[in-house]
Amino acid sequence: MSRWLAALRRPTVAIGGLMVTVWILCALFANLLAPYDPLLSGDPLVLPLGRGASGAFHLLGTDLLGRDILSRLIFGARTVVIWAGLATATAYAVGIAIGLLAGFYGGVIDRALSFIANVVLSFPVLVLYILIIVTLGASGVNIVLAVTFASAPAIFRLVRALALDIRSRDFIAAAITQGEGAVHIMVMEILPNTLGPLTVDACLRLGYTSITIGVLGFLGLGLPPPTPDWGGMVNDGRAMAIAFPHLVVFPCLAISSLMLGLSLLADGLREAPARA
Amino acid sequence: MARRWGVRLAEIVGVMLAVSCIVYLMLEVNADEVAVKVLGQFSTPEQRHLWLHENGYERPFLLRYLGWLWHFLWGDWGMSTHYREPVIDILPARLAHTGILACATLVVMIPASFLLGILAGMREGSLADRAISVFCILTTSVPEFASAVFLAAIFVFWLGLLPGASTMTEGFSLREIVLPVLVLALYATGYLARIVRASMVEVMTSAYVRTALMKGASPSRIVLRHALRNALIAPVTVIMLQVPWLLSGVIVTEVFFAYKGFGTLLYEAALNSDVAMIEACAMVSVVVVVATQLLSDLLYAWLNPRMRRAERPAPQGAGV
Amino acid sequence: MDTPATAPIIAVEHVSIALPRGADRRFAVEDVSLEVRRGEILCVVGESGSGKSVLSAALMGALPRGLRLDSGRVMLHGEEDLAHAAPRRLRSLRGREIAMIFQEPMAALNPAFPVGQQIEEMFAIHAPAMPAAERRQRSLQLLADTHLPDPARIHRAYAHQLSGGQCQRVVIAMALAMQPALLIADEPTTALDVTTQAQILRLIDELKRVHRHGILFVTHDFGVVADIADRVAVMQGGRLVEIGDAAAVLTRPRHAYTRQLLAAIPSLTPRPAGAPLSAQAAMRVERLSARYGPIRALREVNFTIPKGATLAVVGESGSGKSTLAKTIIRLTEPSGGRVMIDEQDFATLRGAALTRRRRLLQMIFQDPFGSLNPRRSVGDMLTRAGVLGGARPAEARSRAVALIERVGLKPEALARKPQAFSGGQRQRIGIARALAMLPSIVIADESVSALDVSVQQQVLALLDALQRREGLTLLFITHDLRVAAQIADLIAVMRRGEIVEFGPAAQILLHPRHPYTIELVGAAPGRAWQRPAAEEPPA
Repeated sequence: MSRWLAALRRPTVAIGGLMVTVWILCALFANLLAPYDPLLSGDPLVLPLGRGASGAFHLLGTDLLGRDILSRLIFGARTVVIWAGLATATAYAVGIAIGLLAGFYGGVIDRALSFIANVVLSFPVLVLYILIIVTLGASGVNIVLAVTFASAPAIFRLVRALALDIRSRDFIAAAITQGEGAVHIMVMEILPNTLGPLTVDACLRLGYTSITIGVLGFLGLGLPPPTPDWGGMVNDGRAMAIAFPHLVVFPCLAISSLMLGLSLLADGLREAPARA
Repeated sequence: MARRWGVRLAEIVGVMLAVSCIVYLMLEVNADEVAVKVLGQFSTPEQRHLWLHENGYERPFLLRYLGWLWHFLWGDWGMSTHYREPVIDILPARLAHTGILACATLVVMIPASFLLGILAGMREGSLADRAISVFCILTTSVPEFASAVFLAAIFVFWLGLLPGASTMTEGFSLREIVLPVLVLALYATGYLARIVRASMVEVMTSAYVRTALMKGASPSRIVLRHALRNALIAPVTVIMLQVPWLLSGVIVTEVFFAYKGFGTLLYEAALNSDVAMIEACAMVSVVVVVATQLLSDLLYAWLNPRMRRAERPAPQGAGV
Repeated sequence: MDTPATAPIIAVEHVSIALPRGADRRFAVEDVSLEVRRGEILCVVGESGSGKSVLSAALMGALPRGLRLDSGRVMLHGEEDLAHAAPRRLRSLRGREIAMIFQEPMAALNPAFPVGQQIEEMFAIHAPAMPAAERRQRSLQLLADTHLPDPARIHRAYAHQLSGGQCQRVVIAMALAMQPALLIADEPTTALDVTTQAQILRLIDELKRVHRHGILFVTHDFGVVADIADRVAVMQGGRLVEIGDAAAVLTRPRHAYTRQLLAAIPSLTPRPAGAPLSAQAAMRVERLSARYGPIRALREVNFTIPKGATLAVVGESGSGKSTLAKTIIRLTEPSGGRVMIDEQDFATLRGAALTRRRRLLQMIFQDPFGSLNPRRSVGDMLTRAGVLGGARPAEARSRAVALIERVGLKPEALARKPQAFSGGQRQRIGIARALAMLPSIVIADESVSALDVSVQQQVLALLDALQRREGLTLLFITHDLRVAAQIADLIAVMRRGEIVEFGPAAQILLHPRHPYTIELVGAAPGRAWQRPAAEEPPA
C-alpha cells in the first residue's frame, strides 16, 4: 500500500491521476455536472462564451443542431469510460488467461496460441476494426467484441513473455518440486508477479481503447447517434470546422487530455517500482 | 541459418493463409448478405438468386473460399461495386499515393526521433532527457484525428498558411502534403524517440561502454563508435514493426485531409459495403505488414553480429 | 615513466567518497590511504559493500553517478592529483598510465566489433599517429603475449565467440597496450572457472614479475590473496582496517575483522570424520542420463548416498552437475536410468504418483533473490509447504514457527515478505521451506555461492548442524572444492556429464587419483596457505 502512496508523490502520477479522475467523475456525475440535456436542441452554432437567442449561456458554445457542447462532452465521458473500460477488461480477461497457459506450458500450446496471436496482429488495428464493424454493425457490444479480438493478442504476448520469465525463476521450480498443481502455480505464483507491468500496460491500453472508440466515431463507424461521443462530435463538426473550430477542437482536447492523463499515470507507475 | 529462415517463411505463408481465411469468412460467409451488398438494398430476390448462381455462391463455403483465393493470387480481385471498375485497376495507384505519404513521414520522423532519443538517452535524468520525455508523452497521447484538428486550427484557421484539404485535384502539391505528414510524423516521432532513448540508456550503462571510458575514449567516441551501433539495433527493427500503426494512422489522416490514398479507399469501401474492395484492401495491408516484419528480421540479423556469425565456431585450444 | 623504483606509482591520501543522501551510510569510502609501487601486487580485500570497487573506480577518476569525492588526493607518480584533474587530462591518462581489467570479461568487450579492433582502438586513442599496419602488428603481439592460441583468429573474432578465459586474456592484452604503470584488476577471476582462474592468476603474476607493472587487485577471496598478493589491504564498511605485507596479514592479523574473515575462509582440509556412514542407502542413482537436444548432458551417472550422509558433487561450469540435480528432482526429464528411493524408482513416476512423492526430494536453490516468491509472506510459504507435505493446516503452522527458529530467524519473520531479508537470511528461509515438507533427501544446488564468505560459513554451519542433529541426507552441488571440503562425507567430481572420481572426502581432497581431480585440487586458490594456528577450529 505504501508503494502506491509513494507513487502518488511523483508529479507524473499525481497530474495523470488527477486528469483521469476528473473524467471519471464527469462520467459518474454527468447528470449533475452537465448544464443542459446533451440531446436538447437550442440555438445552433453559438460560439464559446456566447449566449443563444433565448439568452442561455454556453461555455463552449453549441453545435450544428444547437446542442450544448460542454454537456455533450461531459456525457461523452460516460460513453468512453463505460465502453472503453468494459472492452479493456474483457480483452484483459482473455489475454491473461491464454497468456498464462502459453507461458506456463510452452511447447505445442504456446506455439498454437502464438500463431493465432500473430495472425490477428498481422492486421493493422484499424483495418481489423473496420472489418469487424462492417461485418457486425456499429454498436457498443460490437465495439467491445472488436476491441477484445484486436487487443487480446497483444495482451497475450505481454503476459506470455512475463510468464515465461517468471517461469524460469527458482521459486516456480520450488513450487513444482513441492508438488503444487498447474492452476495454483499460474494463479498464485505467476500472476501476482505480473501485476506491476500489467498495471502500466492497462493504463495505456485503456487510453488506446478510448482513442479507438474516438476514431471509430470520427469515421462514422462508432456508436450510433445521437449518443454523445467525442469522436462522433468531431465527425459531425468536420464539415464546418474551418469556420467554427470550436465544434471539433473541444472534443479533441477532451480525448487528448484523457489519453495524456493515462500516459502520465503509466509512465509514473513504470518508474515507481524501480525506485522502491 | 537456412533452416531458421525456412521456418520463418513457412510461418509467414501460414499467417497469410489464415488471414485470407478470416477476411473471407467475415465478409462472405453469408452469401445472401453479399448479394444484398453487391446488388443493393432494392434488388429483387430473383436478381439476387440469379447473381448468386452466376457467381458460384451455391458451392460449399470451403470451395468458394479456395476459388476466391486462387483468383486473388492471380490478380483477379473482383469488381468494385462502388466504382464499377476492377479493383486491381484502382488499388495500386492509391497505394502509391499512400506510399508517398508514408515515405515523407519516415524521412521526417527517423532523423528527428533518433536525434531526440540519442540526446535524451546519452545522459539519463538530464534536463534534455526530461524535456524530451515530456514531449514524447505529449505527442504519443494525442490521437491523429485530434492532432489533425489542432494543426489545422493553427495553420489553416488562424495563420491561413496551409490548405485544409489535400485532395491534390491539380496534381501533386507540396503545400497540401505538409499537414498530413506532420500529423503522422508527430505521433510516430514521439513513439520511436522513446524506444531509441530506452535503448541508448541501456547501452550507456553497459560494461563495454565503461571499458571504453576506462580506455580513455572521448565522449564523442564513446557515443558514436561504441554506443550507437549497439543502441540502434532495437529501434531500427522497431521502425519496421511500426508500420501497422502507421497504416492505421494513415487511414484517419487521409480521411481527415481527403487525401486520395489507400486509407480513404478502404474507408469509402467500408461505408459503401464494397466487399471486393474491402477484401483487397485488407489483404494488401496485411501483406505490407508481414513484409515489413520480414524486413525487420533481416535487418536485425544483419545488424547483430551475434546472429550473423553465430555458426562460425570459436577458435579452440589452450587458453580456455 | 622514469620514476625511481622506490616512489609509489599511485598514492591514495585520505580519500573519502560521499554516498548520495538517503543511503545507509554517509561515505562509500572513508579516509582511506594506500599506495601501489612498481612491481608489486596490492590486494584490496573486503566483502560486498566494503567500498573496494568504488575505491578502484576513484583511482581512474570515474566514480559511478551519485557518488562524489569528499576529500583527499590521488597522487600519480607523486606529482599529479587525479582526484582533481581536468576531464581531458584524465582521459589521456586512462589506458595510457592506468589501465583496468574487469570482472565480467565477456560483457566488458563491445559485442559489435571484432576484439582485435578493440585492442587497436587503444592505439587510435593514445597514439593517433601510429600507422594501421603497426597497430595491427602490435595488437597481434599483445594477444600472443597473453598466451592466446592463434592470435590472428582471435584478432578477428567477436567476444561471443570466445570463452570467458579467452575474453579475460583479450581484456588484459588491451590493458597492456600502452604499457601502463598501474593495472587495476577488479575481481578479474570471480566469473571464471577455478582452473581458468588459476591460469589467469599465473598470467597476472607474470605481468608483475616480467613487466614490473604495479597492480591493484580487488577481490573478496582470501584464497586468491594468499596466492598472489605482495601486500594486503582489508576494507570493511568503507574503511581500511588493516594494511601490510601479505605474509604478516595472513599469518598474524591484527584487526578483529581480518581475523574473522580469515577464519571464515574455507580450506581444502576435509572436515573431521563423524560417525561411520550408514550401510542403508537413502538414494541410489543408476545409469542416469539426460539430453539437451543432441547434447548428452548426463552420461550414465551412478552413485549411492548412505542415509544421513552428505555427498558433494563438484565440477566446473558445463560439467552437468546442475543438470544432475535437476534431473534427480525431475525438473528436467531423464532420458534413461533410475533414481531409487525407498526401493521405488523416482525417475519413472508419473502424474499423481509423482506429485504425491515429490515431498521426498526437496531443493535449496542458488539465487537467494529468485528462489522466494516476492509476493508471498514467509509464513504463507512455509505453511503451504507443510500442507503440501501432508500436514493439517494447524500442524503446518506450528511446524513453520518451529522451523523458522531452527534456521536461526525470529518468529516475527513469518509475517514478512522476502524483500525484508538479506541474502543469507533468504537462504535460511529456503532451507526452512525445504525442511517443511519433511523430505528424506535435500538437494542444495550451489546454495552458498552467491553469499559473502562470512555468511557462507554461517549457512554451511547451519546445514551441517541440521544434518548431524536430524540425520538429514544432503546432496550438495558446488563448483568450489573448498566448500565441499567443509561439509561433505563423500565427494563426486564431475566433468562433461560424467563422474570421473567418487570417494570419501578425505581421499579425494588429500589423495586425488584422476588427473582432472588433481588439476582441480591444484587450482583451488590459497592451497599453499596455512591458516593461523590460533584460529584453527576445534576438532
